[in-house]
Amino acid sequence: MRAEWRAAPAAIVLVVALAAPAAAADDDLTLDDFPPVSDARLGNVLSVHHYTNLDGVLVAPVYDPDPSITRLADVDTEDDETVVTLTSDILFAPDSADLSSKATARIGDLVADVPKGAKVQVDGHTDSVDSTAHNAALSKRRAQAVADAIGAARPDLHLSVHGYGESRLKVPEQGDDIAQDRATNRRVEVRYTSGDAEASPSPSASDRPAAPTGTLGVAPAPSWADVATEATFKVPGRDGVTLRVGVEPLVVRGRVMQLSVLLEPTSGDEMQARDVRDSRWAPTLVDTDNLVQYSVLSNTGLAWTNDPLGGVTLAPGAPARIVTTYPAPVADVTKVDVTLADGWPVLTTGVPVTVAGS
Amino acid sequence: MTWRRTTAAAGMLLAGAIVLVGCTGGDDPEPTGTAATQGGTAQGATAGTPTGSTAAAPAGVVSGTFPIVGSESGTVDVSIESLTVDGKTLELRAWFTPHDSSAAGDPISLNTMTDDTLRPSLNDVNGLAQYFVLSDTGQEWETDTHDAAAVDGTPVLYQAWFAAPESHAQTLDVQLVASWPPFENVPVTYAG
Repeated sequence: MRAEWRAAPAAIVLVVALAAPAAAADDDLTLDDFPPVSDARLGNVLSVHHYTNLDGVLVAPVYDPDPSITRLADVDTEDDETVVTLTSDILFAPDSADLSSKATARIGDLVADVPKGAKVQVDGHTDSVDSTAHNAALSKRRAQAVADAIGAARPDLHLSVHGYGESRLKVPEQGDDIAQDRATNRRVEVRYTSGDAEASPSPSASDRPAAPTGTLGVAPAPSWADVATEATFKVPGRDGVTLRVGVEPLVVRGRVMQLSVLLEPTSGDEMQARDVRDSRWAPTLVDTDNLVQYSVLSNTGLAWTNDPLGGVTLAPGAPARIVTTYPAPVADVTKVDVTLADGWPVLTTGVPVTVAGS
Repeated sequence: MTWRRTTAAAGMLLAGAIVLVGCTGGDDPEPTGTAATQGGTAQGATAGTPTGSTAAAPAGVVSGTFPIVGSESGTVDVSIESLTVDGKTLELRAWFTPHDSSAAGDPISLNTMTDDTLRPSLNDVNGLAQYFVLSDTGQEWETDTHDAAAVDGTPVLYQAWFAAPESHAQTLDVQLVASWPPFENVPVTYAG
């Protein structure tokens, strides 16, 4: 075993050290020169390795699905003020301020209990990607779209609309989780005083039965024939790198949902997966029918993927597959929108969701 | 009885080396355990049938053939013999049979077969947990992937130990190399 091999140099040092006093006397070595084998020696660190950490994050991470599930609205009430934070990635397509009919209806539900005639402030916010002017304008358009939906449902409310762009980030955008940080900052906040707001229904992931997990076997090798959608584009920020990218239908297995993305450079030298992205590979999924967003299971600090180190080789001639794992859907879903990475083209609207074995 | 110090030291090192070689998991010719026969392989992977081998790997519960990472034409048959929980740990036993004529009869190590990317994980899609090789002593409790090797067409055993699943999982997915498709729904046997 590897542990035994690596112990060998240390064991040699120990033997030499134990024999050293005798060397001062003469060059002859007898059995008397060696100390007796004791229980302590039989149990020392060079002979026995005690593996006691059986539930640490590096050996057995257990994932909590809830942090990876973002619903349309997060309601926070403090003193007399209620703040309903709406997730822009669920409401809007990138750079868009258009609301779907389902989103419009859900926003109306969210303000059903606001006191009659109340003053309601609608504030739009973006991340720090793109220019300040662009972000200010986008946030204002999105806030106005939400205000219009509120006004349609509750014409009695007095609405004021603001677009703050990137000037009021909710969290700093930095580190390996910068993509998640940016998503958190993309939001529309609805504020009003007094009254009790009700969050949208929030079924728990554990409320639903586990899906089948399929049968014993080896997962299929990656093939372009199996993708649901694909595109070829120049990778932003990577001069001369053109990638063919495909997304396979999502598969629900047990209590997880798995996304497989195929990547293949169209030419040039081979590279590693981490060479084509700025941060941890963490595509997000949006169920636009139920207005729920899913992110990679990662509350342990590790992201559940087949390639946590980004070491998979990308080379022309054969696709490589990166699999990321999410909580199983909290509601019936047949398709989701997939956002692969900030700045990458949108090519993944309406990706089918299947159940293992079906 | 006396002997020269250098002779004694060399003898001790040789004896130690023999002991250590004996501890590598790569040369166990007669694996124990019962191989189940259920299941099979899926599209993109074929059942492992070593060709030109002098010894065959046990049938295992599931097998597949994968490219040798970094090789233009080499492949490796991988047969999962068992996932067995005994006490607080789970043992993975898997046989690797390389097929690479360019090796010219030289032993091919597990590291070479996997381009140093053999980092197994066991994934529990019902228990929402992953399991990695036990390593909190600073050593990874697994076969030495540098020295465990096999010549073209012969199998070598790889063993690794993990924490026993908290969920008492009946099946686990086995991901051996990031670029290889995983083995899915591999049955777990509980000793006793």
